[in-house]
Amino acid sequence: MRAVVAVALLVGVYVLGLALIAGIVLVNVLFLVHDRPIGFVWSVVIGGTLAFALLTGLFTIAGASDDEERGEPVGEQDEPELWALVRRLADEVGTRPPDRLFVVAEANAAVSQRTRLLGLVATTRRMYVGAPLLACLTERQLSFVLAHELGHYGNHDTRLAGVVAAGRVALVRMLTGLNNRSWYHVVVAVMFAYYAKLYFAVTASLSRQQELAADATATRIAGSEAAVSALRELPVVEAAWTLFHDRHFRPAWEAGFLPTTIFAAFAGLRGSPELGAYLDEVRQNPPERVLGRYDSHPPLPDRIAAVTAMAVPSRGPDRPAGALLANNGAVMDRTLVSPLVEQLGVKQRVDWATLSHTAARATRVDRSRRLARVGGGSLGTVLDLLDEGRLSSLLRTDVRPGSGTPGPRARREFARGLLIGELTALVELTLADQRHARWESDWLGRTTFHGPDLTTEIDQATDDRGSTGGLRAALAGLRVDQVPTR
Amino acid sequence: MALDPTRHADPERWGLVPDAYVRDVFPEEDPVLARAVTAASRGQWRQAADAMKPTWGDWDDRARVTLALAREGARTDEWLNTWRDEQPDRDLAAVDAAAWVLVAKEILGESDEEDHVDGFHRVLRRAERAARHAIHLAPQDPTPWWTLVEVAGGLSFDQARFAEIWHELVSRAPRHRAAHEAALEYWAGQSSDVMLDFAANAGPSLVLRAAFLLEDEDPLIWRTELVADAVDQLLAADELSNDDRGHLVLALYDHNRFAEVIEQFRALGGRADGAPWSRFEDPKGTFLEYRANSCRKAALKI
Repeated sequence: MRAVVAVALLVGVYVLGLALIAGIVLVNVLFLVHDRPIGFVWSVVIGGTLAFALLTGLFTIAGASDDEERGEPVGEQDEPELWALVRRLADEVGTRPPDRLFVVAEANAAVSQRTRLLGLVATTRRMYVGAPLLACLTERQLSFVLAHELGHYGNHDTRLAGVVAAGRVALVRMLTGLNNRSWYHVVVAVMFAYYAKLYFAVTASLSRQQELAADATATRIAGSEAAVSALRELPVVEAAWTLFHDRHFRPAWEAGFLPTTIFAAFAGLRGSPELGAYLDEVRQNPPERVLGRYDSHPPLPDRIAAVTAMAVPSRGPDRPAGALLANNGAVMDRTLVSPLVEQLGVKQRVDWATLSHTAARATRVDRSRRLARVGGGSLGTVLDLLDEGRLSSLLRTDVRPGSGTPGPRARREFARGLLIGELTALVELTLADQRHARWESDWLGRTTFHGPDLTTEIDQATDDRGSTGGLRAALAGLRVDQVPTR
Repeated sequence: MALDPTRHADPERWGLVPDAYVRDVFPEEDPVLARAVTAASRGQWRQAADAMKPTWGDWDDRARVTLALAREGARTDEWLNTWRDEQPDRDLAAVDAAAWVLVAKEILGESDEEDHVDGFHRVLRRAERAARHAIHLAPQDPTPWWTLVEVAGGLSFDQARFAEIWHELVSRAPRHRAAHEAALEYWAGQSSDVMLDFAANAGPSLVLRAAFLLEDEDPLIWRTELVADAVDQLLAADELSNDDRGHLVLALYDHNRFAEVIEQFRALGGRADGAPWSRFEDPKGTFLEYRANSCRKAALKI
């Protein structure tokens, strides 16, 4: 019954929209008929913009959909085993299989369909499978996740449920789409927000039931044990992936490098000792999901309790989900790096050990670039300038302390602090390039400098009344040539 | 502006100085200190040394003179360096350490950018070294210990480390006013409960200061019994500092005791230069706003 109301409400979005436009037109006509030219002009301007916003809301946003071409499309001939699994799961769930399959670089899986008329009509169905899931889960855990997603579209008992869910997605999309735009879009969004709230109130328990129903369907297919472990493991996979991608892969990529291995390294990260404690912590206390305002997922403990209670035994042996993939899972790396990038040769291929050293070196190069430029090009010339009492010429003049009205001394001290950072980078760089020091990074992203500690000497060298003597002596003791090689 | 209700407030009718007389910067009133600061701004240190010397033993006075000289030292340090070259004494060391703290605060300002925070921390560590040097030169002087209390707040020392510093301070000057205010800031960064306990033990002035620091997170703080008692104690006192009056304004205003607020404003005259006004972005504007609103609301009450 609720589902019927929900569908009626969805249709009502269009009714409401059209009624509003009719109202705007009516107001305009009334102004015209009663010979109020100023009022007419105003109402045309304001009414026109609002009507425009309404129409964009109804057509462009609700008409389009959240499904897009992303990740690596895989055809049936590319990944026959993965496709076979998906087909089998769709069959067991009792829904039609997706038309297209994508492997994406996200710790997530999803099914989407192109919808028309606020989700009332569905067309192309797409499935996205996160490569990190393929890398971390077992086949049975993955089956649970994928069957859950398919389950949203195939619960026989609630035939309209799919429509309700799709409508919910479409409404959220419409609201977020309207909200981030100009004032007249926001005005319309505010009106529809109330309508949407009504819709969500009507469908909240329905969506909750749907989530649990999808869990139940998936559990019947994958077994309780896989269901529980998949639910527990998903936040861990996500945490590991975020760490890998944001702290390791992306910085390297942005610095112009391409690691020789990606998902193999990701596996290394998951197994590394320094991360064990961190991932265990996530496993014990999964972070509260950052719920979207309209998210309707039940809390994780409730879901785990529900699938445990079903006590569905597992069938047959299990294996890593990655074994489903052809070519040792080469498709996973392609989600991040298209073959085109390699052919163009814009990124330099390096292994991870070199990469962590190179990345640390690159940040030092960045950090010392300005100093090297104004200081004559090398550590040696910088120290010469300091000895000549030309510290001021090395200080940055383009930065200001946090206080709005800093005195000359505060400006100078602030700039000195920045200079110390730059000089430290230049000293480390010089030492490392002459093999007197190296950097080491762990998977947690902590870089340590293995080399002589020259903090005091650097402070001395940058003091108004200091001297470079200590630093020079320390470097001479190491037989460092003070002209860096770059 | 036409709709601004405060334009009918007319503070002068209540015997308050005209708005135009209110300022948030006043010249130094102590003539010796004023001359010392002026000389320092010209690079001369002897007057500063002369101003510091007689403060030995009167620690609140020493804090006052140290702070005034340190303000100039945080602006320009040429005279401090000459002082160091010619007569590196305990007075210089105390001023020098206090000046480093002020430099650090200027580097931070209200910013939370990494460069500013890093600079703030670096210079505070420099201040710590300077304070330790001053302690070495003058083991009986609480002044550098007060500086360390400020450093502890800025670098968020752990409580054990703070307790050591605090113990050294109070064993030299049990009621050191400036250090108590600095300690309040330290506790503000640790725990508001401990901060209030600390303030309650330290007297009514500190209680109002603590309430002011807490009012953003706890708007009802002014209505607590602790604050109400502190207000009564202060109103019964023979003599009040301008800072106390400033905080009393906020407390009494929150209690809707506008006639008494106006009394405090009458005593403050045109001085919008102390606490709590200096904590606002526009000290004079805030002062005038409270003043005008109090007059308007007092008029409504009669």
